[in-house]
Amino acid sequence: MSGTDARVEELQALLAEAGIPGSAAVAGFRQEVAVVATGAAHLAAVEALSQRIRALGFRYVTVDLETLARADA
Amino acid sequence: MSPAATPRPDPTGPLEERARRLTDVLASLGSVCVGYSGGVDSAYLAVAAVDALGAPRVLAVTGLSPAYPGVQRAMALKVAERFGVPQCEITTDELADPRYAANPANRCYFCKTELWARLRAVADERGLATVVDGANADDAADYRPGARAAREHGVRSPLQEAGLTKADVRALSRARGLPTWDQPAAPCLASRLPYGLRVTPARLAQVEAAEDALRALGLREFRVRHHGDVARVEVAQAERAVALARAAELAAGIRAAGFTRALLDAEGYRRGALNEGLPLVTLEAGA
Repeated sequence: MSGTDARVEELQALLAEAGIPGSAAVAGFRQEVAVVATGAAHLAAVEALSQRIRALGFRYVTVDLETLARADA
Repeated sequence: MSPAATPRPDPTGPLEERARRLTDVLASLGSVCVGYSGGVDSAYLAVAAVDALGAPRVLAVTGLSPAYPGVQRAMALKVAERFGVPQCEITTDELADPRYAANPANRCYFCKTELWARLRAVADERGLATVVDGANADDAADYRPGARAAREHGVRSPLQEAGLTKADVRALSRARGLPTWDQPAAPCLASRLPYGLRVTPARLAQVEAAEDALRALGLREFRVRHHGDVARVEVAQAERAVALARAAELAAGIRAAGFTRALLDAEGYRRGALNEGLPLVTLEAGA
C-alpha cells in the first residue's frame, strides 16, 4: 500500500464529491488497484464511479471486504 | 482436410445440424487423443468422441500441474468414469520453462506447447491418429495464444470445426446428461495472476486455497485474482448478494490463503479481466 500516491488524494476527493464516506488507498502489483474502504450501502455508488476512478490511473476498482462486512461502516 | 481449409459452418443454423457435423468430423479422424481438463468443452468433446468412435478409439488425457485446480480434476475423473471415457493423467512441467514462469501475455503459448507435445507423444505411443482440443466456435474471436501452439502441433478442434458455440456445447451437454453443462468456465489458475507477476507454485496454491474457500461458502461464478500481497475477488452480479452477506467469511478465507487484504472488485466478474487494457501492460519478467 502507498499513502503517498497522488492518486489517493484525487480518489479521496472524488469519493467526497460523490458523498461516499470512507477512505481510499492503492494496492497490488504495479499499484494498479484502487481500494475504497466503505460500507455495503455505498457499493453501488462506488461501482457507478468506476470509470472516473479508472481515469485517475487505476486498472481496477475495489472495495475492502472487511470494511464491507462491518454493518456500521 | 486441414482445419484451415474446412468451411466454417453457420453457428446460427439448427443445433442438430452442427451436432451431426461434430459426429462426422470425429468419425473422419478415426481415433483421437483428447486434451481433457474436465471443463465444459473438453468433457463434452470426450463423450462425443466415445459416442462417435467407440471407447477403444479414444483416450482422454489430463495434464496435471500446480496450475490445474483439484476441483477440476475431480470433475474430469467423475465424467470419465460415469460416461465410460478411457482416461489417463500425465504430469506437465510448464513451470520449469522460464518463458512461462515470467508470465507474459502469451504465457498460454508456452504451456500449451508443452501440453500438446506431451499429448502427441502419448497419441503416438497408443496408436491414436489425431490430437484434439475443446476449443469452440466462440474461442476463435478471443485472444488465445494457446491456439497458436495447437496449430503448430497439428491439433484439431472438432467443436470449432463443427461451428459449435459455448452455448451449443452447454445445451448438448445438458441433453446428454453431463454434469458439466452449467459449470462455470474454468481456465487454469495461472490466469488469476496479472501478466508480469511471476507464476510460482506458491502463488497458484494461494489462489486455489482462496477459491476453494469461496466455493465452500456457496459461490460458483467468481475469480480470485492474485495481485501480490492482496487478492481481488470478482463475483458475478447474480451472486453479489451472497458475497455481501458473507463478506467477513470471504475475507477470512482469503486471508487464510496468505493474502494480507481481501478486495471485492466493484465491477464484478468478467471473463478475461486481466486482458483489459492489455497493450498498456509492460511484459517484463518481474516480481
